[in-house]
Amino acid sequence: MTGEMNTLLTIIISVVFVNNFVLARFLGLCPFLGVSQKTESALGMGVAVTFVMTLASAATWFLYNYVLLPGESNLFGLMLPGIKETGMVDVLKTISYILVIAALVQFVETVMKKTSPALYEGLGIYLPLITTNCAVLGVALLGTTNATQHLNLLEASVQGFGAGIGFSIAMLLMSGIRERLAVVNVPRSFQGIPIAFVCTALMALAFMGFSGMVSW
Amino acid sequence: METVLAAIVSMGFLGLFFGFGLAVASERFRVLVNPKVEEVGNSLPGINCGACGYAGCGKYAQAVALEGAPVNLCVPGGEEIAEKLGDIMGVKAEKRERRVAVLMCSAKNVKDKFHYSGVPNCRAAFLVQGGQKNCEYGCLGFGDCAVVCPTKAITMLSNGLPEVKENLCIACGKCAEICPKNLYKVLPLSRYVHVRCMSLDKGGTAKKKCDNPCIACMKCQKACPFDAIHVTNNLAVIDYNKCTSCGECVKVCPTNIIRTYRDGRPAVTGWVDQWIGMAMAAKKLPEGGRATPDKAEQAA
Repeated sequence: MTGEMNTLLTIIISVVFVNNFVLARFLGLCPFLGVSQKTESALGMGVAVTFVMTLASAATWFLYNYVLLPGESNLFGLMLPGIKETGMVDVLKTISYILVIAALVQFVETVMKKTSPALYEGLGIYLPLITTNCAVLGVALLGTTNATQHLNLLEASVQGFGAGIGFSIAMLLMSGIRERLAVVNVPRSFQGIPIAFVCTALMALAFMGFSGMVSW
Repeated sequence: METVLAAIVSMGFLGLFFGFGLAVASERFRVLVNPKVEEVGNSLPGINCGACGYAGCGKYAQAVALEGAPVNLCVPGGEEIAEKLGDIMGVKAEKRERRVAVLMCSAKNVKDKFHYSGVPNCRAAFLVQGGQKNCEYGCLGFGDCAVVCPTKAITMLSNGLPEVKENLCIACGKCAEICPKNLYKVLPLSRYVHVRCMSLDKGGTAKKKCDNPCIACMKCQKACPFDAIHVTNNLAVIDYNKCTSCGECVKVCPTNIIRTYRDGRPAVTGWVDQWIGMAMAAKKLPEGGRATPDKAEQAA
């Protein structure tokens, strides 16, 4: 049990700090720069991304283990015996992940609209934006095909959740900086996105200090 | 070859599965939206100015269609939209008088008490000892109001004061909200006589700081036939419940701060001709023998 807890903690620290999706892997820069002007919207986006990443990690874990991987557990292997040996990881991982994530987010959005309008109001505008976001696809790939070792369902979901938290932290830091940048005299050619990128680069340098803290 | 087949079959299955799932979900979790919400929303201007008191056009559309909010609250839309919404909702739109924002400051030759070199906007400047201007009640002149104005009705003039173009103003009140000195008032069009000063300084002090202050001379209070203007705290204040915009106070004001809309402004076509009284007052002012500050000094 403690071994398992240790693993989960290592995963969380790894994806939040050491391999932060935005500042170490440079995934999801589009929403990172697009929605980080105000702390409020940055927080909303962060929560939405965390939500989608957790769901996507769990959903793609099932897809990976029961559809893509070769072996006895492959469901399509029942129909086409050849699949049992080859699997479809190389052929279908990207397209099937995108399909699953998009369908899942759409489904959750529909259900949310009916069952909890307040939550829909809060997350609704951000959800469609991130269905095919590279950070979300990235977390799905890193939890399955590109993982250093085979993760179980819980580990994959926790990795997705942690990645979302890391994304939210980066968003909140950035929005704090940009709210201050808005009232500073920035040279004209640096105003807007350029100065935001300079800040991102400096933050990424700072996050490099975490590298080697945990090995995952 | 089998891989291709497997790919097609598996993706087909997945697609079919998700498509079916989503179709069931959209039927099972359908949210019925009142079609009137959409209809009302489409008739609104969609600039989300917030002048109606709701958080954007969408919220106002919901309030009108579902909660029975009044249909005449859309300020930029005016009567036209109020009638349209009335038609949709089956109620009669009550007429609501147009309002505009008025700047209650006519600062002239107000010196700076220190050199301010911080963030160039009024709210930031206000944080440093209430702003760099000598008059602590007057306009700081960085033009925050011009920046927030959604219809670009406010422009900064070369004398450092903002000017409201009444034909563009939609009375959303954003300028009044952002001005750190609370210099804007949103008033009905028919109330076109204003005391354009907010200074609570005593007459002599105010006059030292600005060429155009209210010096609390009480002349307007005495001249008013309707008991509508009173000097309290060294400042003349008009009670718009009693004011008939007759313009008597405008004639007697020695510092030229009680003014009508048209003072020194280009005529605004459309509504302006309705206010005949105002046009007359504006014509009389230059010839009417009102004492300008210079003449008052000469007489003294």
